[in-house]
Amino acid sequence: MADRGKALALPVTLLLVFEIWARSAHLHSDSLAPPSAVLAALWSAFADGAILTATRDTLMSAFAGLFLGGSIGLALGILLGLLQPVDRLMEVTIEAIRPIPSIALLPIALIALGFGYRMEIAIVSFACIWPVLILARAAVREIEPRLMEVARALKLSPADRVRKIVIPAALPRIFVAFRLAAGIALIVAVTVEIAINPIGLGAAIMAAQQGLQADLMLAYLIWIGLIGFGLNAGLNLMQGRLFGRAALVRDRT
Amino acid sequence: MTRPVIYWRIVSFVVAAAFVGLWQLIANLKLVSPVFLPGPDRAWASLVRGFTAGDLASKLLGTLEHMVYGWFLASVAGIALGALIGSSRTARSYVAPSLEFLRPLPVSAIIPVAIAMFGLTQTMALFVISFGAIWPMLLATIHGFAAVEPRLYEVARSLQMSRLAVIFKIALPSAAPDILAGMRLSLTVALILSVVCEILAGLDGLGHSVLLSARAFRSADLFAGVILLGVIGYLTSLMMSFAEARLLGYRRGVL
Amino acid sequence: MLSPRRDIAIVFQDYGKALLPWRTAAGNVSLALEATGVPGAIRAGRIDALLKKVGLPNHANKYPAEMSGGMQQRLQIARCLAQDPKALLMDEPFGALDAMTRQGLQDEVLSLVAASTTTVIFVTHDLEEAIYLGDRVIGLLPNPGRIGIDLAIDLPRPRDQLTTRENPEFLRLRRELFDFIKASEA
Repeated sequence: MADRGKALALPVTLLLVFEIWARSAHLHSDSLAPPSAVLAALWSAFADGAILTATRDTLMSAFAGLFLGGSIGLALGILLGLLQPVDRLMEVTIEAIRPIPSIALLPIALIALGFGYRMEIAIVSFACIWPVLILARAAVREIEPRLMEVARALKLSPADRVRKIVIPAALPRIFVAFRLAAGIALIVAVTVEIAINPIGLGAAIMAAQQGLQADLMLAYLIWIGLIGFGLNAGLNLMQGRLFGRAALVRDRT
Repeated sequence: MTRPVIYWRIVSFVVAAAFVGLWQLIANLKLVSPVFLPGPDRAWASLVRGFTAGDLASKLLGTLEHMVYGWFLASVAGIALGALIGSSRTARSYVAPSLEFLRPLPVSAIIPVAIAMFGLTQTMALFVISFGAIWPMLLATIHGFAAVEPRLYEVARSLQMSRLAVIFKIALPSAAPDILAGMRLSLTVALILSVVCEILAGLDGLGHSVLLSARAFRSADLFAGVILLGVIGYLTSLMMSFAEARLLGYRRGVL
Repeated sequence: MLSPRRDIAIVFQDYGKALLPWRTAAGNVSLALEATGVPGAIRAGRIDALLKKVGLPNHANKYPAEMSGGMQQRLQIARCLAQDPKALLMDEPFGALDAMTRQGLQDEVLSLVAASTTTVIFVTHDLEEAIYLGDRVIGLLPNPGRIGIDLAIDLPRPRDQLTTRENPEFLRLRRELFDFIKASEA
């Protein structure tokens, strides 16, 4: 309880001080608004449904990209993890493509696919391939060798080997990979929308800025933050439920 | 390197070259319209032309400047703040939860706020890039400082080392692996945000130039720019690996 | 004594945690010299001498992770000696080492003490180690903490792992301490 109090002390104090200052100074600004006005703007954005449409667009693109890019990354990761020679052959190619910042592909996606969902999904997919590929490859490589011996002794077909031994054995770490990729997917989706794509939360917050509605802009900022936090917390909770505390490792890529 | 490793490396290069060949073949046969996909020959020619006759070098420099200034500012502020918060248990218990709450925030969402405050200017870009790049470093430094072996603090106390000496001789080196990992992540973030800021504010740099090439359907120039951005990403990550190998060499006995 | 003093050095049992992993053996010894304000110019010579004293003359450039447990503990002792202490507190310093390394280090501590004026306060649960090393053995009783036994050890020096341990006086002292421990646990 004391810990929770300490955790809340800082943000609550800051918000209160800001609210009082904004009211006493009769703040009129294009970039700032008192917390009470931001809350009111958030409420009205919910009331007219604008924020729900935007949220749906952003999350749809993010999850579609996560699914597409994650699947490609997972397939490649398992392949490279199982077959060491293939991994070594592909090393230079992967090292050459991976460091391209996902957002640099934006103009290419733009001329190839135009504005809209498809272009955003393509960029999110590219960004999601790499964390999943790297972590899945490591997970497959570190499967207990005994399990692979069992698979060989049972003369399982390659497909069965992957389906019945490799994926279940590596599942906790594959989930971690997807959890990290989900965070990346949301970030990339919002970034693409802010940079250029006229859909979703990113476009909505840019529109609020251009309309000089500071309260609405900050309302969107807070909502985007809440979605990021909720997604992260939800996936952490799911991971804990599915794989227990043992799987809650700190992962860095 | 042992001999087989070198052989594998060479073969791996050949495979990569084969992929470039395949790309050339697809472009030559016009399986994809040349408006969208130039061959590697045209992209390379555009790259060379850009550096010799065009202004690609200055665009490259522009992006590097945005990225490095923002990253440097974030590094200094992130490590200093992280050390301050991380070395005090009280400060950690008050500040860390708020930071953990902000961590999953897509940092690009701060761009509209920055535009409202600073307009479409270099200051805006610097603010956005350093704001985005500070998080990985701040959190890594706090974690590194919090995870210093308590026994080392006892050693420092029995030697009656000053507070400054404890920070520079015990805490910072102990947190170095975490801080370097944070710096690596921050560089990636800084590069991405530089490109986004250049696109949005029309600032001089590769981000703006690739967007203009795309709008004019000059696909060779577009690919040249994207390749250059990939090279920046590759080289910065190589630099970080080099720094890690130099600074963390003592860990080779453990690993 | 309630707070740490620089003229009293502490040798911790968990040598692996008490050394700076990012500094070489020489660098770890240097830490104490830096803290006591020894000028940089004469540090190198002092470090060489200290490492030689604890039997690590050829390991100055090794990192702790590249050294065995016994070597790491020697290094920690060297760092403590660099403080030029009046007293050396050793808290079960050899508890985590194997028997052979342990005996070797016992003899080295004895010769280090013989060559200096430093007082060593050595905490151990090993009765024989206490008698073998000590001039005086004090047994403590818990709840409340107090002195339960205080024996003067009059065994001849220099001591020897075989002959000292076979000395009838050694065996008598061991019996006396053993009885004390048994009585205190009853």
